[in-house]
Amino acid sequence: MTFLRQAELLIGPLTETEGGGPRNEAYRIVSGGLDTDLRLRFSIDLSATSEPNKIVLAVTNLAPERWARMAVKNTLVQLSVGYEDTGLKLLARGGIASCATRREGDERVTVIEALDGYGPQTRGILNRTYGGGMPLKDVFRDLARSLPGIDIGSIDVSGNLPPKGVHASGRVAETLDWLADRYGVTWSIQGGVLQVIKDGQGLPGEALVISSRNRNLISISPSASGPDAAQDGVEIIAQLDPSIRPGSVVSVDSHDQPNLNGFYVAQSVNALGDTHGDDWTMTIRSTARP
Amino acid sequence: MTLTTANTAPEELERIAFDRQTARLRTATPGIITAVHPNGTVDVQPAIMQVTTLDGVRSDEALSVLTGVPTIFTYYTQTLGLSITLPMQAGDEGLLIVADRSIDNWQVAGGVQAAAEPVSPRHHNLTDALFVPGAVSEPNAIANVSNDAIQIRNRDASTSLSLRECEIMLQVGSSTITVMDGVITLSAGGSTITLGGAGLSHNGKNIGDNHAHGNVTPGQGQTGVPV
Repeated sequence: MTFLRQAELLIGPLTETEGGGPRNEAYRIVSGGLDTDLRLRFSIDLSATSEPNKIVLAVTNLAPERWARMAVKNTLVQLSVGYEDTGLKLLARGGIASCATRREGDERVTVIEALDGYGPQTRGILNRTYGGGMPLKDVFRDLARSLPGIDIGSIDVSGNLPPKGVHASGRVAETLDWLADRYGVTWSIQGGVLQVIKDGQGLPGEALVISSRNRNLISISPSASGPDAAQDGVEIIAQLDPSIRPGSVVSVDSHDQPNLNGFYVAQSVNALGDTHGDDWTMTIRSTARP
Repeated sequence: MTLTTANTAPEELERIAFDRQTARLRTATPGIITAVHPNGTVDVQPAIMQVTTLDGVRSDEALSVLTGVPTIFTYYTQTLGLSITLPMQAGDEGLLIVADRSIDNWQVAGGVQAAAEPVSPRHHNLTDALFVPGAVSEPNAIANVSNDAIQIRNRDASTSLSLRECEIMLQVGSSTITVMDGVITLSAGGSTITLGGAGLSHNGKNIGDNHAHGNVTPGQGQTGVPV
């Protein structure tokens, strides 16, 4: 399948003050692995926890006038990947934290590091008293609206605030952490979208199948030692599939390790890709769905 | 905010993390009443602003008002139903004391109650503040506090009840009632009445049960009523 792989990198839009170019200008780099395409490598660390997802991109032989203008903090980068027959889907999105270009032999490699939701997390400040009895879902939605540039995704939380409500001030992220600890949920920002999942549960929707039969399962192994290893979780290495995100429920069907077959919730996803090399996989660390 | 780098020593990172964590633990802070409710609770504006720093620029913003805050009247024996109450109005200053666990269920129902949250209880959060009226800033401080008497008084002490060793004095402007061991003195409008072991006197004249009248011819007759 590797010859069908595709990647698209959007950098920007760059406003005049941010990038010096025309307003709303974005750079679009599409690579399908052809010799005429730019080589794009990436390592993406996605997690279901509130720590911002980390995006590392390496673009080979990018024109100097372009990489120089990318070195602007918080500029948006969006990486979509997929296959020729299935199309592209967003894998990671974030604000540039650093950009540097270095030599690798005869080639010049521009390395971009970006964080998903870090800017909104540091800039989201609030100062509010939520009244007693307010539905927790509404509280989380309101908090999400206080994170600049963040959209509201799946908010899976039930119940209401206790009679006195809650006084929230300071960073929105701290209030989200605080509420998550007290009401048994986990929040994170995935591709600029806030999601909240009940502890031990996954995102709503059908389980995504990773199987030997579909040839998208490379390997599966227990991720914890001891007799309860299978119950605790597994580490799955699979063909890159941007549909699998932290919180996704996956159904594993392995010929080699049938004892580990079952439903799991992806807690972290490390995606590795190289449009001109072998890497095109994801390592999914997951816990068994109760 | 202290800057950290990849080379910052672990001990320094721990110190910074601990400092930031403790900064989030609310314990007590001054507040100003914005509303008083019939059920005895008050709404209180915390008097110290929140500080945020973004891109090196500091901004200060008033915290949101705390609503339905229970009031602490220091002297209230509920079992006997005796209390000293204070009138409260919007604008009065005081001290917000933060309970270390969520007080929702206790506030609503009284008695021994569970913390409100399902997983782990709220702790040291301004939501759980209680208000003690009377902690005041210097511009609003009470002037001329007596150093030898407990007083209930107005701002300029022109109306007061003072309790001293062996003396209670009630004062409204120039009128006073003073009770001492063996002597009670009433003073108003330039007149003074004194009651004690020496009898009852008005401006120094004996008007008690053994007072005598002058310029009276001895005989069987009685003096007339006072004029």
